[in-house]
Amino acid sequence: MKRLLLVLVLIVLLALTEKKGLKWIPKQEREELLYFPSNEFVKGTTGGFDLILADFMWIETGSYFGKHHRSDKSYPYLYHMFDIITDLDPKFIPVYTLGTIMIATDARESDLALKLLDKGMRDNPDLWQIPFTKGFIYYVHNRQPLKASKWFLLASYKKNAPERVGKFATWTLYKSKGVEVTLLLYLRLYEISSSEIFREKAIKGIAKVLLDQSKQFHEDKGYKVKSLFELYKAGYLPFIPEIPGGSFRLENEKVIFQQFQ
Amino acid sequence: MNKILIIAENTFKEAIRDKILLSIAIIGFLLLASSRIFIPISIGQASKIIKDFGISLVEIFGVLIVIFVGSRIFHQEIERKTIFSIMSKPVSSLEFVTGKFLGLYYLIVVVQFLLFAIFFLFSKLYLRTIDIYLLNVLYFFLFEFLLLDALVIFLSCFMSPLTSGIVSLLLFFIAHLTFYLRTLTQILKVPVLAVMLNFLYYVLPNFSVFNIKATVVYHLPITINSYLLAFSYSILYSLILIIFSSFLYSRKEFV
Repeated sequence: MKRLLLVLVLIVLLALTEKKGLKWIPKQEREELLYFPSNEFVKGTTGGFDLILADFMWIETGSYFGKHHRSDKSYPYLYHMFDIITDLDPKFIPVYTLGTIMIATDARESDLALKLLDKGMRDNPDLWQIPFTKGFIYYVHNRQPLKASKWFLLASYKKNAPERVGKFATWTLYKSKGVEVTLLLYLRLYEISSSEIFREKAIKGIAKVLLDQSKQFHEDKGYKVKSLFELYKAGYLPFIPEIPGGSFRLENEKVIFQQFQ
Repeated sequence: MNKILIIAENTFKEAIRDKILLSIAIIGFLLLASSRIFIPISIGQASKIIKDFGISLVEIFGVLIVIFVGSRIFHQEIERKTIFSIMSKPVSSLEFVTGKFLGLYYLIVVVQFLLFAIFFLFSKLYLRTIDIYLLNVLYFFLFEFLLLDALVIFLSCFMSPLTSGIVSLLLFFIAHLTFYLRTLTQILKVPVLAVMLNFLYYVLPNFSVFNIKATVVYHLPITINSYLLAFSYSILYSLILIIFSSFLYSRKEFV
């Protein structure tokens, strides 16, 4: 009975020590991630259990993000955490697709997100998702549609990349006013697409480029352009796009695609 | 051969009765069952995490069983004084050590299959699917434990149970990182250290040849070379250790 009482007293003392003691330690020393190891340390001490450690760090990162999302919205360790996870498990794809967007959007460190994506591409050269995410960050966060389209285009050439990835490339490029490459990409999309829907989208994409250029012509010159040839001659088109089995023409500032019979 | 099998069978029966084995098995079962907790906190990665957790636990508990049971394997014989009855019979040290080695290996094979069955059961319960490709890892685990078994037997021949247990556990971790020993020699650039580290690199077993966990979890192809390397490396290294162990055991004095 005496022993039991002694144990109870000790438990109470322990609980009090922890509760009160934590308040005496400066906040900086209590920072939750002071224990988070360095990359070099982690790589050398896993003893073959890299995957499970990466998983635990993924869960820990989720908890870190959630905690700061509800409080100060500051994430100074986010990149470091994801960097270690990918050191341990270079094929942990959600880190590259979801984690980098968290770094770019929430931590507002798109350069670090791009750095992590470069690492991901080195370790997973066949995946389309990583260059696609890089394109996304360039487009949404860095506002660099030209660079974004380059990465979307690279993603579209990867194995198993959905057809829409190529469309992203053309769309972002068009937004960057790269008319020549946009037209080439739409023609390429038409050529490689087996789906009728995507071929139709490619035709509509080309028609939209032609229409926008004719409107630009009108705005610059003060009169309506009569034909695509005139638009080409005036330097608003690098070439007149042609699709096998059909042709584009301008009529009253409307672009018409006519299929050959 | 018959003598070896009898010793192996007795070792297996004794080990099965060991309380440590039962405790480890129960903890392993409970931990595998508890992998359910990862589902809500895995941020969409439940399937991967449960697989990683499952195969890591199967390996960890395999290692613990080999080390805790194996490190006491000779000590128990001395403690129970059964060693004297064995010594009085025409059993060579090689036969005795090989029998002990095989008995412990038999135990670990049974435990590994059992743990994998439990893991698959919970995998089916929690993920509604069983990933058969993961079974590839079992092949590599079995050869990893064959080598670990030989290593523990070897250390138990000249160390106390506690020391051999601790040293085996440390060696298991170091043996996964032998690659870094070579990197260290390049970084340090101290000739004496480089010789020492190179010596350790070649002498210590390289357990990374059995580590294909990432390959199976991500369903990457496993080459026939990996299977052959695991097989031949484990068998050859274990044979060398068993021969050394029998030599050490023959020189042991029991008072």
